[in-house]
Amino acid sequence: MTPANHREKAERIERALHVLTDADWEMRIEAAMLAGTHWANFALHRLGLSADNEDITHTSMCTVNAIRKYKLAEQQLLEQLDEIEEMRPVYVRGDADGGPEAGRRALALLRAIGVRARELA
Amino acid sequence: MKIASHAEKIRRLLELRGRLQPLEHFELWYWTTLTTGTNIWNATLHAAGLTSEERVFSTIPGVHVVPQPDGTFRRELRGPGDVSHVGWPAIAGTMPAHVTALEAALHALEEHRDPCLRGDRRPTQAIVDECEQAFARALAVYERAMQHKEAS
Repeated sequence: MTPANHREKAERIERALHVLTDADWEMRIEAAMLAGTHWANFALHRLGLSADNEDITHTSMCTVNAIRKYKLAEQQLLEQLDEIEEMRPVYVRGDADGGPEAGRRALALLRAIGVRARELA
Repeated sequence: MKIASHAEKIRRLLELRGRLQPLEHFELWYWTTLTTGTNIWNATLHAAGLTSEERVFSTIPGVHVVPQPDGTFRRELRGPGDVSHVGWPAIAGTMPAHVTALEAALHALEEHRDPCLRGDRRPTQAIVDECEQAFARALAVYERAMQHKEAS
């Protein structure tokens, strides 16, 4: 996808976040994963590190070499995305205590990712 | 994960689904629908005795996150339990007709995942309608499976 389309998708998801409450932590985490991944692709494409047809879908599913390369340029952003990904089995697909707090943390991470990505616009 | 935990998530996700506008909030509406569907799939498989409802959480096929006594979590290699998506992994053995019907409905829903969420396909009312129909079929199977389990 082009950077413009990644940005459009990320911002559509961000605009819908107001519907979610603390009781919707699964979707706060998933929204952060989806929008955060679009922002990560936006950033990597803008930096010339990945082509429009080389989108990542999950940091955990990149080849080791690719993620090493991307982290040389955007370590903090990708580590923030990793943190969101790590919440998914525990709070989205699992029933661990602390879901509302995890949902709020995911949104904070998404905000940080969005700030960094927009610096590259 | 226990059927009761899937049921609790399904209840909350259905309530959220009702608050989201399918076209205006398509990405979250669709993902909420998809996540509800995956919980329906796991709960129905557990109720049919096809997968374990042990309290371990799905990641990639064969690997689950396991709560530890000290409150931490650890990835472990595990047998058939919760899955993260229908068909990932496929369920071994012969499935009863209602599970086959549920699987088909969820695959119909999943058809729109990557094109609409990770690609350039724009959501339309026709796509929303297809998702609604597939989800209604899935929910009907789940509700019957839970009623049957309660009655047995």
